[in-house]
Amino acid sequence: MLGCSHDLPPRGNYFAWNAYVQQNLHAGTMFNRSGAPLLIVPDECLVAVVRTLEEEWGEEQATEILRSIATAWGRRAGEQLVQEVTAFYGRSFMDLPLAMVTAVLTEAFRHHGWGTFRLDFSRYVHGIVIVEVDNPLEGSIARPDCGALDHILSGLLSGMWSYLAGRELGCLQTDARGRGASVSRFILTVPERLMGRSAGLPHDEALAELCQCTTAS
Amino acid sequence: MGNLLQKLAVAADGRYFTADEQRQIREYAESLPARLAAMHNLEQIEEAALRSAIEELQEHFPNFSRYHDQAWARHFRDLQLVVRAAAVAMVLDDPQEMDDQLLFWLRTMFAANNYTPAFVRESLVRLGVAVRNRLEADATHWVMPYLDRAVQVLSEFPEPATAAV
Repeated sequence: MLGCSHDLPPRGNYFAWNAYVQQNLHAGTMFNRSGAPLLIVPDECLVAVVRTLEEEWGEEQATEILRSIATAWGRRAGEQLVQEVTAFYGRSFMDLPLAMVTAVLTEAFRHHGWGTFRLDFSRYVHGIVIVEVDNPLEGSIARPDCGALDHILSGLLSGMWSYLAGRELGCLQTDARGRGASVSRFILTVPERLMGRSAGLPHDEALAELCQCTTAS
Repeated sequence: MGNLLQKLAVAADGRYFTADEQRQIREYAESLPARLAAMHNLEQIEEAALRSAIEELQEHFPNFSRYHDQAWARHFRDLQLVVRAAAVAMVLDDPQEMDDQLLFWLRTMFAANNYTPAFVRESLVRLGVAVRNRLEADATHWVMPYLDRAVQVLSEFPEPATAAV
């Protein structure tokens, strides 16, 4: 990614709400500013999907199914994001400065209701990207009584970042708002390094173990 | 979210505008020529104010350009975006428009670039002074609250682990 952005066209936030969402009330449809259809999914739908999958398949398999769906969705969302942002800023998404990529991704999640994101690249030399999320809905509403993790968000991050990075990346959730943490935290790295590690480990502990791990990054 | 007219229209669902709402609309309409004149004035002095602010910042932060490629040109562009977003928000009488359209997005970029909140605050304060010194008095009244808001919003982020200013 380029280190400078001064020659970018002076354009602001692609996701600014007033410009991003376009409604056609005659047709009962909604689109984003690039013409991609949008659909608001209420939280009751999310709760119904999660609970039905658990009832039909059990918690473990339901989690796998949710993550698999979310990962596939994340890839497609990443592909769409790259196309739209490239057209908007007039420069290939992959050539944008890292700070701008960070801002675009943060605004994308914020404006779709997934919470406020902070991307932490301080462990990039260890092959790790950390994502902190304030106010993620999923874990808090899907199974608030048993402290659920944010499986859909975890799969979404994995799929999107795999597409953006051009290689398979796994996502491990450590802290979770649904379990009383102040923010939800996710660790993105190659899947081999995450094998055998279960979600919900204390963040600092999981991070320290991964940074010591010498497996290819 | 939404400017005054949008908010009043939503509030007046199923009824006519109240006397107080009519007064607010009338006051806003009467203020529009002054707001547009202030925007025009801001457009005229934008380049000079930005150059002045950047020159002052270059003296105070001599290492900034060592950390970032095309650092000052990039910072000029970022501050220019703030001035223009402030102008639009001022005409619409909608400070939140500026937050959503630009400030939150730009703040994330500043943080990702390892700028410090103090550097951002200093940049915007100096920009504000440069603008104030060049604007006509009437225009200052309309523009400055929006630039002051930008100082507050944009400098509100955690200190970076390693500062790059």
